[in-house]
Amino acid sequence: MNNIELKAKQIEEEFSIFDDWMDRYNILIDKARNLEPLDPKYKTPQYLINDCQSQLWLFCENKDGRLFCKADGDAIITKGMAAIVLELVNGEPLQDIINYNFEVFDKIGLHSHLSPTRSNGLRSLIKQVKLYAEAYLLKNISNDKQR
Amino acid sequence: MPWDVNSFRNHFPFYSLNNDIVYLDNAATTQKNIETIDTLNFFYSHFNANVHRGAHYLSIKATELFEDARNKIQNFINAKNSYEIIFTKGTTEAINLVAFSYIEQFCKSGDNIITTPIEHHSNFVPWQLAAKRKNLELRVIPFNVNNYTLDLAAFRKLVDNNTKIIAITQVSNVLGIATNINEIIDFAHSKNIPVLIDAAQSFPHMSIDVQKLDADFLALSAHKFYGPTGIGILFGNEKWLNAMPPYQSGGEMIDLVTIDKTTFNELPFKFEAGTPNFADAIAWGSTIDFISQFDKNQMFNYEEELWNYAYEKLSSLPYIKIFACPEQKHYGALSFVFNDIHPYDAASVLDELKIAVRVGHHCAQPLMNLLGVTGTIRASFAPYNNKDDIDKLVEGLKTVYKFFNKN
Repeated sequence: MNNIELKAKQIEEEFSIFDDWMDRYNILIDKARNLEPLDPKYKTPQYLINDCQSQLWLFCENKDGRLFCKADGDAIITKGMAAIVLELVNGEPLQDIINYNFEVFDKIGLHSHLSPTRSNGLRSLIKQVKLYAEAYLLKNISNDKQR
Repeated sequence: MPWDVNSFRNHFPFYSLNNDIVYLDNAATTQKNIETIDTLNFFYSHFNANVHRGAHYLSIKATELFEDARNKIQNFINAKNSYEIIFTKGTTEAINLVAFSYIEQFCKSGDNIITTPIEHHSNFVPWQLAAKRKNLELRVIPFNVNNYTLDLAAFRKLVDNNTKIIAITQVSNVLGIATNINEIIDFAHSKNIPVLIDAAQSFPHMSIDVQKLDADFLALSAHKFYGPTGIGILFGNEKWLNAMPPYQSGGEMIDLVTIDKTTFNELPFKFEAGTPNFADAIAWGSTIDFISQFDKNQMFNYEEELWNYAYEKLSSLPYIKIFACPEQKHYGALSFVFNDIHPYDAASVLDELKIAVRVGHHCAQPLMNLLGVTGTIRASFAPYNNKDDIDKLVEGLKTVYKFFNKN
């Protein structure tokens, strides 16, 4: 079990105590509030994951083959879900992020937010995080070759 | 006689299976009455065969039923001729048909198209693309956000000798208000300019008479008025339709094909390339029969009563801002936002409470920009909704407010 999977397990346990939607949403709201702020200079169309119902901004960096992301959103529920994604991927190896399929959202009873019809940006956020990971991985490989 | 909502609601199996759901997303699509569902089932079980093709019994029967459905729609909107009813996938395809075929025939570089900023993207983007394709100008009638009306004086000034078509919705999908369609048509016709009416949202809430409207083109979808999905029509006045080239090509729409050239079939088949969605069209015919049993005025008055009730209830919530103009009549839709809760957050909680409303920009971003919001929550009503549904919505909104404000 890699680090992402371990963290996913912890998140699952955190949610498993509650079966009421209010409690689950309260966790999300807490996570949204505790999310490290995104520098306003990244809240531009370039970093916007625009979807039908809410807006999310995402900025990702690569440090020594590990991904570090920051995000912000205008809807607090979506932002809370983005916080879960970031909690899972931040500081993790690029390849592990590419391989992980985010089934944690199924297990914590929030999978409906991932459905394409919800179009809340979460799906696109995950896709974008993976694209960053893939792009940085390719860049690292080509840098290694050049060395 | 008052509207009997319970007996009407009993025609919709959705309610016997989902008694706990408050369905207030009717402007997106309505539930289906049992007669429509049964007809679809019955047709597929008994008569299924391709239309206008074979000489065998089933094909003839299917063709009869299909053309019978066309006649029912024709009568329902009082079109003069059944061949002026072109079956399409829905409103969007109907508009795209005109935005292609009419523009191909009648527009040259430098001409202009007039529309409004309150259109659904379906009646905006096709014109934007047509304008780009043929180097046309897309002109937009100013919309006054204080009283929710189009500026007709400005509209008259926008019209010139190069104006080739006006595309306008009859009812806004976000605000539920009606546009001054009659004035616009009268003025356009005085200049010999045709008007396309997007009737997607008006069709379920008002009687439509294309002859009385003197409509050139009118687009609508079955599924917003209890009918099946994937079927709708373009009504087109024959004088325009006959002059327009085909939209798509393939089977059914041809007359004669040789290696050198193809001549096209007559109306309506010229515009119905490929196997049409006859099963849904036939089921839609039965939907029309179903609707026709009811007194439309009673039905529409009841809808108005529901809207007024909802407006009054929501107005009493100080943390809600409603996008409506009480001096105007509204058709089906009621849009609002919380002053300090994002629409998506509100809708997520409403969903947990089994209240189905639509949230977002409702495919009307130019209007959202005018209203100064990125999205709204929209409750939209059908005559199977009752005051209890609205009371539950109001309770739900109170829960949303409490939930996000204790946090």
